[in-house]
Amino acid sequence: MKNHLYRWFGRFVRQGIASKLPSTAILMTITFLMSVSVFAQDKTVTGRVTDAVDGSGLPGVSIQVKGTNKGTQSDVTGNYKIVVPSTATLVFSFVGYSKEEVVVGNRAVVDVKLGSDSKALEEVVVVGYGTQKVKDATGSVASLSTKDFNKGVIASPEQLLQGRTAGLQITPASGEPGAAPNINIRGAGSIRSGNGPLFVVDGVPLDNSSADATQDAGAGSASPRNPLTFLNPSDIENISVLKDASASAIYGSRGANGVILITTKRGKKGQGLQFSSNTSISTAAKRYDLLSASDFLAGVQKLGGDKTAVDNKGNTNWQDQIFRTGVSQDYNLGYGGGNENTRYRATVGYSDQKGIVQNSGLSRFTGRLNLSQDLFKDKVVIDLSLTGSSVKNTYAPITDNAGFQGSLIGATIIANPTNPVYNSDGTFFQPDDTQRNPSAMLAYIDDKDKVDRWLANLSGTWKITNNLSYKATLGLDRSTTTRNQWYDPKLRTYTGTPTIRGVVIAQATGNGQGWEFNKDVKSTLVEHTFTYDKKMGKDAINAVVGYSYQKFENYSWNHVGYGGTNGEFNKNLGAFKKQLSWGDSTKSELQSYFGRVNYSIGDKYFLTGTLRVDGSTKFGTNNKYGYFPAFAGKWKIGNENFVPKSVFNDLAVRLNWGQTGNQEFPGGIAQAVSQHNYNGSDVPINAANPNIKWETTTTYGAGLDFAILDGRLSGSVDYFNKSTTDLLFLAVYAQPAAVKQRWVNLPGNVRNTGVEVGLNFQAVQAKSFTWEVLYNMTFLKNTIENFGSANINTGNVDGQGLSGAYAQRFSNGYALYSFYLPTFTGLDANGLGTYADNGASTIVGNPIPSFTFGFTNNFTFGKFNASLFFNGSSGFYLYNNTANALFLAGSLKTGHNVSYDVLNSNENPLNAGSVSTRFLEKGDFIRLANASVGYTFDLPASSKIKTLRVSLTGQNMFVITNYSGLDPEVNTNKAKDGVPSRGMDYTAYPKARTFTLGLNLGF
Amino acid sequence: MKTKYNSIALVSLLVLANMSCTNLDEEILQGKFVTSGSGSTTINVSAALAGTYDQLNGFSDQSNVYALEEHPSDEMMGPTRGTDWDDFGTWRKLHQHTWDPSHNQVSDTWDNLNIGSYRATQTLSVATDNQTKAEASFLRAFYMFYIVDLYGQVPQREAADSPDSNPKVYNRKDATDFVIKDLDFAANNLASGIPGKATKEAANTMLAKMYLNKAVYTQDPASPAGPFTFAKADMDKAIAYCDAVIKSGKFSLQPAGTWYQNFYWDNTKDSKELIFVRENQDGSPVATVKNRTFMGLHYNQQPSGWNGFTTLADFYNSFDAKDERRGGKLAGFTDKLGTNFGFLVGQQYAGDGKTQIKDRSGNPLIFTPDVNINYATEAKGIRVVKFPLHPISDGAGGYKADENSGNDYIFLRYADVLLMKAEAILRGGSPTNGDTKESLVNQVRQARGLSALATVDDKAILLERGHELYYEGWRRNDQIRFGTFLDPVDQRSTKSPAFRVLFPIPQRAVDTNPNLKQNVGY
Repeated sequence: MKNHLYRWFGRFVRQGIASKLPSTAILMTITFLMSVSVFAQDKTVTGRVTDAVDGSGLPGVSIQVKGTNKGTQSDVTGNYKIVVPSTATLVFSFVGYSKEEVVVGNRAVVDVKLGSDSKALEEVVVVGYGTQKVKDATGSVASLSTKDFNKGVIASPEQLLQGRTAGLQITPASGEPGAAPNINIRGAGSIRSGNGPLFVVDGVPLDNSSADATQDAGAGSASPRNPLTFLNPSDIENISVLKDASASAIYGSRGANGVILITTKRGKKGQGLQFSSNTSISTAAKRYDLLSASDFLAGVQKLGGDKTAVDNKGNTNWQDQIFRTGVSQDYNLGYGGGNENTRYRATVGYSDQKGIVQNSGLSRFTGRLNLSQDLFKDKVVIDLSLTGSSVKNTYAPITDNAGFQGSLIGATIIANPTNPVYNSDGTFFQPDDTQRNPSAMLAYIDDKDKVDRWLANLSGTWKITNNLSYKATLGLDRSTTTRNQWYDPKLRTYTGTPTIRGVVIAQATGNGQGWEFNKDVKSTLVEHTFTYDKKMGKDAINAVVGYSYQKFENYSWNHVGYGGTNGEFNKNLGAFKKQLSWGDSTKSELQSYFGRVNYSIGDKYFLTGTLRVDGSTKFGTNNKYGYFPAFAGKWKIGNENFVPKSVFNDLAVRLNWGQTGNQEFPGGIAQAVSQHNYNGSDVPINAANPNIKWETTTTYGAGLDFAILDGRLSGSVDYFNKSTTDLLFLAVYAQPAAVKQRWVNLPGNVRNTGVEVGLNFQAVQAKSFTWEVLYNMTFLKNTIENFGSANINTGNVDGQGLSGAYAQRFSNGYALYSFYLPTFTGLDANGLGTYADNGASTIVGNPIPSFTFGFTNNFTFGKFNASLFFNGSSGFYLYNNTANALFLAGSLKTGHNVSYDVLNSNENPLNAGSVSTRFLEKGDFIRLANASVGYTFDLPASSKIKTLRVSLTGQNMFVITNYSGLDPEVNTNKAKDGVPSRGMDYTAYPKARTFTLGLNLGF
Repeated sequence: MKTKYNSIALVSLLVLANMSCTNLDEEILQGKFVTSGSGSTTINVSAALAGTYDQLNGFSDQSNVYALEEHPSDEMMGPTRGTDWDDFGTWRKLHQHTWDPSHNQVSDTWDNLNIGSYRATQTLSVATDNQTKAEASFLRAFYMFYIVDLYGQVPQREAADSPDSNPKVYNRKDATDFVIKDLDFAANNLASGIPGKATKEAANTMLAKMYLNKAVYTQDPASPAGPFTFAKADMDKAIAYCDAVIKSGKFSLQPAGTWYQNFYWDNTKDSKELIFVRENQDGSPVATVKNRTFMGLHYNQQPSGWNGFTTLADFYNSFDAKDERRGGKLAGFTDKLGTNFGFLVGQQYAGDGKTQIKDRSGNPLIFTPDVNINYATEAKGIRVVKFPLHPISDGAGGYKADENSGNDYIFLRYADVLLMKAEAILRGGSPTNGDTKESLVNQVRQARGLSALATVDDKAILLERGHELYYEGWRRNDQIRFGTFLDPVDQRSTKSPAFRVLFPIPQRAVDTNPNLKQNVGY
């Protein structure tokens, strides 16, 4: 089978010359596009689109010439104008209204009344390699467009979706701008990192390997950044979430965690110039409740210390020293338009986000160009999308796993409040090599990066016949990152001495250090697809076959300067006495064949079959190709005669089954690999596993879609059951061996079962007042099965006296990331901790919410509109590593600041902060995540300004929770031996509360 | 027609890319290379040997192999001090003999030693010259010695074995023979040389160790704590290998008053006792000795330590006050940093020698001999500085300790050889070269400024070994051989069961290799 496909495609694709990069082709095509002129016999049609019920003009209605991509939109009063061929049929469509088709004929004026329809039914969703009507979709696909998105300060696209759709859980690592979130679609199936979905932007699957791994220079290592920050959220038109296997199987070995398809805004005739500006103010939503200087001294004395000895005579609120009010700005300028044959849109955006912690922030400059050109009587359409972005991050020194001295947040918590910020001579007060001065950390650590990323996508679609079309796509994604970290020699307490390629790097304190991390990540995509579309009476067939080749290249090279400088420290690598350079590279290729058939019978029965065959260089020699099939069916019961149309406007059931894969593991794991060190030694870094292969997720599910009350209430209910086998895992390797751990496919499986409910209710639909309610909820159960007696520990607990401590375990019959802890039974009369069963650990809950919900209320009231969005989760636990490490009587006694809870407890300072259920807390919460109010001005028709809107948005307005940490939506990376953790909270960047004032102008 | 051609041309443009179908062979780039299967690179023999040496760097850490050999003994413990050093109970469990097969250091040490052993095996599989083969054999024997000593059973994977095969397992007796065979080959093929590399003398010293411990290693696994029967033939062998080292003439005991030179920052140059070490350079030590100092010293001392491990009061009290090994002020060190060499008791001082150091709660930092292993305050316990770090300028007119001090890290030392020979004679070996057990022990004592002993019994030799080799990682091994390992000590009030003389095979190792059987008692 695979050989046949291989040869067939091989012949087909090799007819071209092999140019090294597609960029030449792109360039030539653009030139060609520009020179094409327009020939057509056309006429101008005008008209007005109105609401069939109240006769009001409908703005923003899409008016398209049937069978082409040509179209326009109605203006604010519902009027439109379009140039069309005389034989054209116009298609009027608008969200929430039924579609109308009108043959133009001899008319010059075409007025249309649109009747309202149950909203979702006519919507079209983007699916892999095509689009589908929602009402015909057999799989579970959620589609969100601009109006459904979260508003306010948005660093990266997934934040637009957070809480807005059932089955999609997005947990930010922390409140830091640009922090990488954990994204799970229908639960986590893997027991390593790589649980996130595949992102596809305008058809190009992204290489989402994150950019910034940094070296631990003495205060722990930081989490990778979110690689999606390069996309300007305001360029996004629509996001589709492919949730079940029947929808995502077309992405084969990358579909197991679901797929998120991002479609950017494209040009339309009459789009004109748009401008938006947003100004935001952010503050820490909650701070730690720390002792004042006088209470601190009294506390030390009470616990048997000598308060005069720890009193350094200052009075510093260290949280005031590191937190700030962050003022952020965001500007976007877009210009779009087009005619019958050409459509274009160009945007530029600038965003500057200041974090609520000093030094932290993110600025982004983006430019985007989308072009479409019809050629040869619309037989050929050329589409070009081009994004360029430059993102600059500045970092506060906050890490995930700092030891007893803490990274910035930890150091701020424990800092002695009687320590002054400065000595009398103006230098920073840094009394010794154990106490960190947070202000000195901010002043003496300079950590910045710059990420430039280009994403280009050129496609040509050739309508070979009325039913058959061919599409070729070239995609190029390239990002280059440079991160510089400078440690001033005057900074004390940075005494770590990392070993790099066999060389010990001298400590930063006293010597200074300079680090430069460079990364160049490149992926090239070539795709060919044939699409066949045919209606046969009441039946229809839609088929896609294709070939895809994607190459991923990842180069990194890094430099460090250390060992003191020649002359003053001046942030120049060349000035250091010693330098070292090292790098790593990986390259992988993915070659795929795929096909999908949709067949519908009488608008009642819909069947979908999908197959993708993926081959990857990353797989072991014995398992080069994986096969990923899926099937789905839908029965529109609503179209059967026995269903009363007076009750059900829509009623359908869906069934699906499929297999998808996950190959998000590093390259080079199938082979024995060694690394050269600078001391002349070669050291093995990977042991071979020629059998290594993808993870396979087998999913089945059923769904019910309905609409009642004239479509005012619609919704869907889905059941899913996902089982992931051949779990990829960096497992303990039987010794003796070249390395401790080796990648294997573990026996056993992870099962996610759940129910998703999505409801949409038009509660009030009066002319002057509307109220729309959107509600989604997910019930999820996650279990490890057939795992035998193996136990895998993770969830490192860091801090003073906590070396080697961990809090989580993967064990048969329990959820992933289950907490495995001794049960704390309180402090005894002496203030010492007591534990049940001699301190034996047992499994006590897990961090995966069993219930999550999102609840949106949209109101319009005259020219005002408003929106309130709540989300929440329950049935999960968090481990408060911050309290475990820092909020203990013994910490106060030894001169570290603590929270007031500690002062008020009877804990003995000799009591160890042992890991136990003492620090395990329920994380249940409800949050008013997004609230906005806007006003759209009525402008005279003569005005140069066509639209004017102002809005005020609040993010994270309040959260109701019993969790004692700063925020229950937190997920500090506490991986142990490369096994990821979940639901751990350790001195994370706090979450902000943000208010945004926005202005939108259209010309 | 024209448009048709144009359209074909246009679409073809799009097809023209880097498009040949791939056979999906993986490439590994830049700084790395594949060592198995298609596209593999030949292993560079000298680089692989260097990588085998590199694995020795882990021995200088305060945890793992060092901790397993020291904390269960009568000379070290790691008390929990309020919020410090709880560390999941890992130190308490070692001292109190309550570890289990999932103990983190029991597991990690197993991996570290076996990785070293495998790197040696891999080097042997590609080595062509006898020098390399001998060095690799020595190193494999060195790693395996510790596996035999700590765990009993030793797994072995050949370089050519399939990646999925289960390594074969030698029982303790067979593993002992395997180690001796490797050492024999090494001793026969190595020359003398610097102590940073495997030498004939290092191999002979290890052979002496193997024969001295052979009774322990070949004991019936059902009664691993003895009583042991030391065969005369083994003791004669031990004596012969000690003699080979002694007769090489390369080593001599440090003269009285210079014992510290074995350990201080210039020990490479000044010590005459170093047989096998990991060489460190000032500024860039690969097997840094800083952990040895930091693990005990208080935060407010110089160097600023981690305020952790202590010795036991009884061990400290067993020293003769005149014994230079008990330490005290060290010229060039104490006068600059305020910290003594050797055992640290009582009030501690800053670099000026006058300022009394306080603990972090503001109380005077007075090290006291008594320690509660569960609930110790900051100042409890006597600390040890065996590897004084190099004092350097602190840039403000004073001194600080160089955290990257280049003291060589010691594995094997000449005094050990003399004491081993004395012990072998005590255990029935035939004296050679006119040496007696007394003459050998007294050679060491006199070099340390002590009076000669008239008679030497096992107690005296164990005591002398403790005083000479404390904190060098030999105490557990010695105590087992002398039958005192299971006895109650401070903070471990009852005699331990016999099976505790061996650590368990880590649970994760048993789970991944069915050829391993858990040790008796676990």
